[in-house]
Amino acid sequence: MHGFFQSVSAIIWPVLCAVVIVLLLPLLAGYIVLVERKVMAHMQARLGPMRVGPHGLLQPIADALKLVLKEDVIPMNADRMIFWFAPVISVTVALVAYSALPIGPAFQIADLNVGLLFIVAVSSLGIYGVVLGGWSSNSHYSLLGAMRSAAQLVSYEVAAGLALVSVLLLAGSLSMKEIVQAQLDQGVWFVFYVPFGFFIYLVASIAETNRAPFDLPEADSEIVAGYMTEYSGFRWALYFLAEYANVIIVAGLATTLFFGGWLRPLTRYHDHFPGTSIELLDVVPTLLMIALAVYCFRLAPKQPVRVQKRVMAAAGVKCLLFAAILLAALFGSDAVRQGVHGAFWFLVKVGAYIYCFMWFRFSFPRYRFDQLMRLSWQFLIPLALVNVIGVGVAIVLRERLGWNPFMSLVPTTLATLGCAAWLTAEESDFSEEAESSATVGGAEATANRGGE
Amino acid sequence: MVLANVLFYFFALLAVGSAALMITRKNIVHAAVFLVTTLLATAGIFLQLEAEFLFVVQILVYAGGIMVLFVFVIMLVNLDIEVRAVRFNGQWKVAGALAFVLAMQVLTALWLGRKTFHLPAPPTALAARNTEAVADALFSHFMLAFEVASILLLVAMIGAVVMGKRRAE
Amino acid sequence: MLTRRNVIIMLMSIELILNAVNINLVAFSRLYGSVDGQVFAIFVIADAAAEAAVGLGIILAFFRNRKTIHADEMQLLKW
Repeated sequence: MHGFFQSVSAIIWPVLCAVVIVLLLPLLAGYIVLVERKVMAHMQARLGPMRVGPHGLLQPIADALKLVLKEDVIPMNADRMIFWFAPVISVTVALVAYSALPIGPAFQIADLNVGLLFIVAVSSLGIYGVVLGGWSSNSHYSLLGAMRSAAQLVSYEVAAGLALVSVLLLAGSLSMKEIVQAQLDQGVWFVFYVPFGFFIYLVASIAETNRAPFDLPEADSEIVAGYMTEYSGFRWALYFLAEYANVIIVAGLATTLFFGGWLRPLTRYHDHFPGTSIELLDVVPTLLMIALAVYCFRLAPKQPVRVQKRVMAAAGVKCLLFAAILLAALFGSDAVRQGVHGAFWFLVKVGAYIYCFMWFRFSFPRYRFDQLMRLSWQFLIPLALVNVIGVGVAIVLRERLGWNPFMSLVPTTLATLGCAAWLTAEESDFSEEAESSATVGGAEATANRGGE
Repeated sequence: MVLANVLFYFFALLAVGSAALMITRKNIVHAAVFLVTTLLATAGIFLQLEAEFLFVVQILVYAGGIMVLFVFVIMLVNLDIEVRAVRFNGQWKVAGALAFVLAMQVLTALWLGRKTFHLPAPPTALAARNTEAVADALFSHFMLAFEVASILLLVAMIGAVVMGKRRAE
Repeated sequence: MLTRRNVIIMLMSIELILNAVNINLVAFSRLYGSVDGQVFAIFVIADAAAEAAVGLGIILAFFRNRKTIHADEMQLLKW
C-alpha cells in the first residue's frame, strides 16, 4: 500500500498541470484568435471586433457559444465513425504534445528523456486528423484539400526535424530541461549559434501549422476550407482549437530550443542590489508590468464609452497585480522565484513568436502548392542537411581543436549561406524555365482548341 | 507497481483488441485506423519496457510515416468497390487449419516450459540514458548493418518514386 | 491474411507481424539487460518502412493499369 500511495502522490503535480492546461487551452486559443483579429485590423488601419464586450473582449465567448449551439450537419454517405473521430484525433494529439513542453522550470507534466523527439513524433500524428477528416467528408474539395495539407505537413516535418537536430547536437540531449540547461551553461541562446537552423525551423513551423503564407489547403478563396469544408459547429471548433494549440506548441518548442526557454536575457549578468541577493535584471519583469499598467491607466480616460473606461482601468489593475506577484516571487525561495519568473519569460517569448506568425500572415502572399513543395524539398531540406553537417564539424572543431564556440560556427554559417545562395540561383533558373514552358504549352493548347 | 501493472494490461488489451478488430473490418480505412491504434499501444508497451528511443521511433516512423503512406494509397486507390464486395472466404479452411496448428504449437511450448515463467528480475543495470546506449551500440557494433540499412532505404525511396510516377503516355 | 483478397490488407497484416516481432525483441532485450534487441528492432522498423513504400508503389502502378486490388484478379502472368 505504501508503494501505491507513493505512486499516487508522485502523479498529483503532473495531473494538476495537465488539468490546468486542458482547462485553459480552449480559452487561450479563443483569445489568441481575438488578438489575431485585432492585430490584423490594426495592420490594415481599422479596429477589428469592437461590438461584443468592450473592445471586443467577449468576442471569443460569443463565438464559442455560437459554435456549440449550431446544428450538427453530417454529409450524406459520409463515413460516420471516422467523421466523428477525425477532429478528436487532431485535438487529442495537439493536447498530448503539451505533456513534454516545459512552461518554466517547475511547470512540466513529464520531463521525458526523449521529450523533444516525443513532441515531434506526436505532432506527426496530427496528419491523421487532417487526412481522415477530408476523406470521411465524402466531398471532392475535402479530399483534395486533405491530400495537399497532408503532403505539406509531411514535407515540412522533415525540414523541421532536421533543423531541430542541429540544436540537439549543440545541447547534447533530447530532454527539454537539459536543452535549456545547456543554453544556461554555454551562456548563449542557441539562436545565436545556429541562426540558419532557426530560420529553417521558423519557416517549417509556419508550414506545419498550415498558416499563411502556407495556408493553401485551407484558405477560403482557394478551396473553401479544404479538409474542414464539411465540418460545422462544434466539430469545426475542435479543428480550430487543434490548429491554435499546434501553434502554441510550435512556438513553445522554438522558444525552448532557440531562445533559452525560461531563461532571462543576459543570464550571466549577476549584479545584485547592494545588501540583498536579488539580481538587478530580475526586477525587469516587474518594471515591464508596471509600465503596461501605467499605459492602461493613461488610455482609460480617453475611451469614448464608460464601460470601456472601466475595462481599461481593470486591465491596468490586473497588470499591477501581476507586477506585485512578480515582485513577491523575488523574496520567496529560489524555486518559487525561478518558477514564476521563468514562466513569465517563457510566455513573453512564446507571445513574441506568435506575434511574428501573425505578422507574416498579414504581410506575405500565399504560396502556390507546387512552389510550396519545391521550397521544402529543394531548398529547406538540403539547407537543413548542410546545417547539420556544419554543426557536427563545428562541434569537432570546438572539442578536439579547442576553437572558440563562436569561431567554430563561422564555417557552418558560411557553408549554409553558400548552399542557400547556390540553391536560390539554381531554383530561379529552373522555375523560369518551368514557367516559360508552361505558358508556351498553355498558349499552344488554347490555340489548338480555338482552331478546332 | 500497481499503476505499472494496470498500464501494461491496458496497453496489451488495446494492442490485441485493435489487431483483432483490424483484421475483421470490411472497410479498409477502418482497418488502417485500427492498425494505427495497435501501433500506438505497442509504443506504450515499449515505453514500459524502458525502451524510450524505440517508443518515439515507433510513433514517428511506424505510426506517423508508414501508416500515413498506407492511408494515402488507400485514398488514392479509392476502394468503395471493396466495401460492397462479397467477402471471399474460399480459403478459410486452410487458414483455419494453419492457425490451429500454430496455436497448438505455441500452447505446447508454453506448457512444456511452464517452469521457466519464474523469470529472474531483470538486471537494473540498463543504461540510465537509453538513447545514448542505443546510439553507442548502433555506431560501434552494428555499424555495418546501419550502413546497409541506409542503402536499403535509399534504394526503397528510389524504387517507390519510380513506381509511383505517372508514365508519360 | 490468407483469406483476404485485398492486397493492401495483406500488406497491413505483414506490418502487424513485424510489430509482434518487435515487441518480442524489446522484451527480451530488457530481460537480458542489453540494448542489442532494441537495435535489432530499429532495423526491423526501417526494413518495414522500405517494404511498405515499395509494396505500395507496386500496388499503385498495378491499380493504374488494371483498376483492381484483388489478389485473385492479379493473374497477368498466367495464361
